[in-house]
Formats: sequence, structure tokens, C-alpha cells
Amino acid sequence: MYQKYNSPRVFFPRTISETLEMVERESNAVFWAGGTELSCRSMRKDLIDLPKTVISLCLVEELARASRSEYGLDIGAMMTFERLLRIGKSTLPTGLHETINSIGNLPLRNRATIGGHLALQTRIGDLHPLLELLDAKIEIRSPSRGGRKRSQIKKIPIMLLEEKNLLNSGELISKISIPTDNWDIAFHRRILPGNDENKVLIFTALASVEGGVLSECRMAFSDGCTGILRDREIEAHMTGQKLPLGYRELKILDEAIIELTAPWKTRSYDRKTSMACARDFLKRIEDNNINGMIL
Amino acid sequence: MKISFVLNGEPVEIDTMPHRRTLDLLRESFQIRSIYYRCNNRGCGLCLILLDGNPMHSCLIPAFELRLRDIWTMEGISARKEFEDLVAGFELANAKLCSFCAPSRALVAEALLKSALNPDMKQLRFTAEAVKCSCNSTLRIIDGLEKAAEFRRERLRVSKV
Repeated sequence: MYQKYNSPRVFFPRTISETLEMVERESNAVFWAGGTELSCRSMRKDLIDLPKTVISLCLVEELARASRSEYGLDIGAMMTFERLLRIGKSTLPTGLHETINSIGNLPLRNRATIGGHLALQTRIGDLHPLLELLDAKIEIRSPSRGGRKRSQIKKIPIMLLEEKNLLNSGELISKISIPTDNWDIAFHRRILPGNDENKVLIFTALASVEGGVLSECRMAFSDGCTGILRDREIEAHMTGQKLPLGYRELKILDEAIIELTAPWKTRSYDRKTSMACARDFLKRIEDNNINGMIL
Repeated sequence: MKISFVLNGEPVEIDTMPHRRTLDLLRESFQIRSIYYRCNNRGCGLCLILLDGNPMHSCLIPAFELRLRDIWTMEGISARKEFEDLVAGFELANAKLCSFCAPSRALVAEALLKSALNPDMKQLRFTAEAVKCSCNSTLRIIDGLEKAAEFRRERLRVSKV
């Protein structure tokens, strides 16, 4: 009964170099990590629509490890979200534990990998803005160079969907390096009005407070498809402000967010929600900041 | 493609298409009837299996991924003695599970108790929410899981921390 379908070819490399050799030979091959995105999109009941050639990464152990390095925490691209959570909240960079917990449900997190999440071509995942704020770097390996190419997670301005792709064909995300700087507060909100994936708003922020003064603050906004928005000027302006922020500072922040989200012209709801999220974040900082001490 | 794996403790081998859904493979070729295809890949959780001890949606796993893996379904775990802890726990919590979600709930509960004999509230909530079925409230399921953990601790003579 199944013979009428063309069966895809599946390769099982055991090392990264073997993987890169294979992708050099099979230029149309697609890497298979957790496969959640491809499987979820497949609408056939008995078969999963796969590309003609698949390179399964499930046996590449180098990609499924996490280790400490001078830069911070190095996470292999094949680490599933649940395995990452098992590392422990205190070991993971600030905010990572909470953000991962908000993605999908337990069985899905058992399959979804951090590399697959970052390689998504169709949308921006929940972790993108946080990793951008944490100054994470991804290590991309490409067959043509045979070596390593380190590139920072790109800050992507509003642009065409095609232009925001991090990866060229045949390139493999091997690991994600995240600095383990200590932030006092991490804040993540995913707003999904009407459960419509096309109207998602992701707000992520980090802050540190010292003696009742905002010593550092970072904020990122994303509509889940066009890019990540971040305004370093307003972040710099907020740094050094005494808490709670005054009316003037809040007004400057609101205006900066309106300007930042200007490309979302047709989505006034999201622009207003972005402002509300930022206010919520500041309130959280103020609530936790009693007598100049973060609790 | 020839794929060999362990199903409910028995080594098996099958020649099948690599992109066949595990759900379909298990139902049609191995007569595993405790998993259901209901939600069009939306994560309802009625097709859960334990793959190397972790609950996963069998509708999202292509057959080629089963190579050399260890798979457990309700048919397998219900034959074990420890399964009585789950039944007793849910019974004591008065959680009468429907026939659709009961197998998946049992699998996900078994996976939880394998990894944590003293599960915290977060683990209990994530376990309860892994299966989307409205036959019981989440609170009642959590209660059932807590009681099942108690029975399991008793069986293994482990005291609560």
C-alpha cells in the first residue's frame, strides 16, 4: 500500500564532520533535529511529508552536549528543551528556564531542540529575542569552509521574510554560546490574541538593579514573523534612572516604543500591548525592589 | 527501510517507509490500539508513547527515528506491577479518566514517577497539561498524580522529602 509514495532517503551521520561531508554530497538534503516544525506542518494522516533527502542528527552526540566555556554556557544544537530544563534554573542564563517553560507542552519540549528552534525559517521563536538580549552567539558550520564560522545572533530590522534567514543552504548550527551574566529580573510575555499565530507579540526584557537604581535594562519586541525590534538608545536612557520611574521617563519610554514599533502600522493593538508589556515589566522591577534591594 | 527497535520490552523489526507516522505504524503493524490520531498535529496528547522513557507525540515521529529506540505504550506498562500505583492513585482522587485520555495519562504519569518520586507542583502541572482532555479537571488529575506518587513511594519504601 505504501509503495506508491516516493520514499525519502535518510542518512544517519555520527559526527559533525560526517554530517558536513554528507551535506556536501547531497546538496538538497535537509537536517532533521527534533522535526517538530516539519511534522506539525504535514497534513497527511499516515505519512509525514519529508524532503527527498533527510540527514538525521539524532546520532551526532557532539551536538547534544552542554558545557561551560570562557564565554559562558555552550549548548549543543541538538539539546532538547526538556534536557535543557533539567540542567537547572540556577545554572542556566537568566530567563532561559522561564522562557523555555512557556514553549509548547511537555511532550513537545521532549522533542523540540534549541538548534531547530533557531533555524526556523517561517517565524521567530520565543527564544530569539531573549538570546539577542543575552548577547548569545551561535556557531554555524558550513561544508564549504570545513571549519567554524562564529556569528552573532543578528539583530534583524523589519525586512522581508527571506532576508531574515540566518542560515544558508547546507549550513549547520552546531552550538549556542550564552554568557552567564547575572541579571536580577527576566521578563517574558507571549501574547496571542484569539490564539491566532499570525498575531503573536513577544516581549522580552532583562534588568539589573543596584541600590534602587536601574543599573542595566534591555528590551526586545517581536511580532513573531518580521523581526526583532530593539532600541539601544532608550535602553541607555533608562540606565541609571532611579526607581520608581517618574512620569517624564515613562512618557519618553512610551514614545520610544511607538517610534520603534512604527513598522507595525496596521497592528495598533500590538503597539499598545507593547507599551503595556513594558509598563508591566517596570512594575515587576518596582515590586521586587523594596528599600533598594532586589528580592 | 528496515527498522529495529524495542516495543514494550520485546525487540521487533519491520520493513516500512521511513516517513510513516509512528502512530500509524504502531496501530496498523503492531496492533497498538491505545493511541489515537485526533488533532491534526495540534498536540492533543492522545497519541503519547514513551520513547526512551520520555513522553512524546507518536503522530509527530517518523518511523526512521525509531531505530534502536525503546518504546513503551499502555499495553506494555499496564502489564507491569507498578501500574497498580497509577490506578490506585487516580481512583483515590476520584479521577475517572475517559477511554481516550487514560492511556496517555498513564504513560505520562509513569514517566513522571520514573524521574521524580517527590514531584513538585510545576512537574505535576506540566504532566497534567501534557494531555488535553476535558474529562477531568487539571486539579483532580494533579491530585491523582500526587496520590499515585504516594503509592509508588510506599512500594519502593521511600519516605517523602
